[in-house]
Amino acid sequence: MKQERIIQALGNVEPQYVREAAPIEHNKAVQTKIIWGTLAAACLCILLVAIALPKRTPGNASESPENGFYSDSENAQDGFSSDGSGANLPSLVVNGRRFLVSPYLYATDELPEGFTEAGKTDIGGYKDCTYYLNSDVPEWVYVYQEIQTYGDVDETNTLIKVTPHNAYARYVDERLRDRSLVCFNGQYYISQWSVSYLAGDVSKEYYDEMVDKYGIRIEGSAPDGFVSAGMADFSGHDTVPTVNLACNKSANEVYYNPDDPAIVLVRTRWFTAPVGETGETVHDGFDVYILYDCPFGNTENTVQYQGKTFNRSDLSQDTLEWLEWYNGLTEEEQLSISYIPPDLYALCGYPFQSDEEVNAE
Amino acid sequence: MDDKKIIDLYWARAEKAISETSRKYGKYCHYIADHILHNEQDSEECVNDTYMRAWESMPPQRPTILKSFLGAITRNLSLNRYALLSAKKRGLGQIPVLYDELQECLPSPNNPEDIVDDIVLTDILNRFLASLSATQRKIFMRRYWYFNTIKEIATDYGMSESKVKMSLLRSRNALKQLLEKEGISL
Repeated sequence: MKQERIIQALGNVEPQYVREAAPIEHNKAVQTKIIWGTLAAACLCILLVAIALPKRTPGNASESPENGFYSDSENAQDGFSSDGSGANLPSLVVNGRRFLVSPYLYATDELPEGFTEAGKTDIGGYKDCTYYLNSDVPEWVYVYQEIQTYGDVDETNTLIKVTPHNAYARYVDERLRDRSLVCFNGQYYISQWSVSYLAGDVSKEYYDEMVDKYGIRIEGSAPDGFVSAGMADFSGHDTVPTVNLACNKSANEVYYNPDDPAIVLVRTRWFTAPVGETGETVHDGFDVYILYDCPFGNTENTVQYQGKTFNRSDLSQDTLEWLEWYNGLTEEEQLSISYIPPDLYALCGYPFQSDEEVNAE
Repeated sequence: MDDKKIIDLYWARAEKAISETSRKYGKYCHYIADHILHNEQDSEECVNDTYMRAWESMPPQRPTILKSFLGAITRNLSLNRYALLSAKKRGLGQIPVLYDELQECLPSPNNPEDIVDDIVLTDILNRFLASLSATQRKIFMRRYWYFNTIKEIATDYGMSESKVKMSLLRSRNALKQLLEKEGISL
């Protein structure tokens, strides 16, 4: 029977689709609802945490759900409690905000510049660990504690362990942790994989609307109307990208639709190895990023010119004043201006005429 | 116990692998079997067969998502048993209804040579699923992978039954279009 073949073939589709649709267990006090991308990132994190951070105290059962690092419950294994809050990860609360261990397990032997001692905390089974803050980087806290890795991985993607010793471990504001962001044209966009309406990143209505309209990932070439904006600068893990065309996930090509600023697309590649295939299948496509009101968005230090964003610190005072005047003009008036301050011209990447070309003219 | 440890137990040929699998995923596997077979005893036997099949599969296999791996085995075993029971005029449930629904997706073969093999069909289904919105995809999978009723899906996703039906109709139409575009006959 033909229909039977579809039913049978569905049994071999990618495991992620099976897990994604797995039934909800109604006997739980709180139903598990986790945004898929967050879950995937959390899986990575808890795996790393389980291996590496921090060392448990003697006699502490290594698989006791209470210790928060290993748990038999599927939710805890994913690294998130049933409300998607990451309750099982090492965390601390500072000034009313919760910070969770970096999903990249970043740690350093030297206290990063600008951070100063701000107090003591118990964290991950350790007592009286000193933590450090930096008002210029409110999204991070460093905690001086025992570590067993710097978060580096080898060529097989296996975490490299080090002899346990004390170092400065990075903790990230829960509103930023695991969020893949793009800064483009003065706006912030967040990956549909990483956005969490449960955590309040966006409203559920907005999330559902965007998922229904654009999906989460697009395989193949860019949809009609989307053009390349160029390669995004990688701003670094756990960071808030602040300059135009920057991404905190990776340096990949960004596509946008001039007529539809609701989303941008970021090139990506993924692999599947479903049952029935003899090896991995490579898929090329785009992750969908949706407009996002980033709580860390810092546009005070940036300025716009023709839809592009520049750091104020990269421009002279004269140019900043010229931009203030220019941006106050109407679009028609702007079109009549042919002058561009030299430093802005250079940052725009416009070509310079060589002496030979000038002489030839 | 995390999945990696359970898989390691299989690879170490430790019988504890079965009990840990049962403890963590027994309920999930039973859910799948029961939605196909609608019979406690048959479902239980399929779940037990799942453990044995997993035992035979690991090693050499090392599934990336153990839950889906076990679920797929349970589903296949349950469908096979369903076919056997149907031949004996036993068994009820959703499957005849689902077959009717899927009938509308199927283009007629123009040429016997057009008939595709299972690997190509699975690839097309993967692409089809990737093209759906997350919500549509979950609804489709709940219906045709987990064999849920419309009412169950509506309850779990907080939707009206008519909205679930509409989503499924659109998905089936999209699948039909894709199969036609690819010139696929079954």
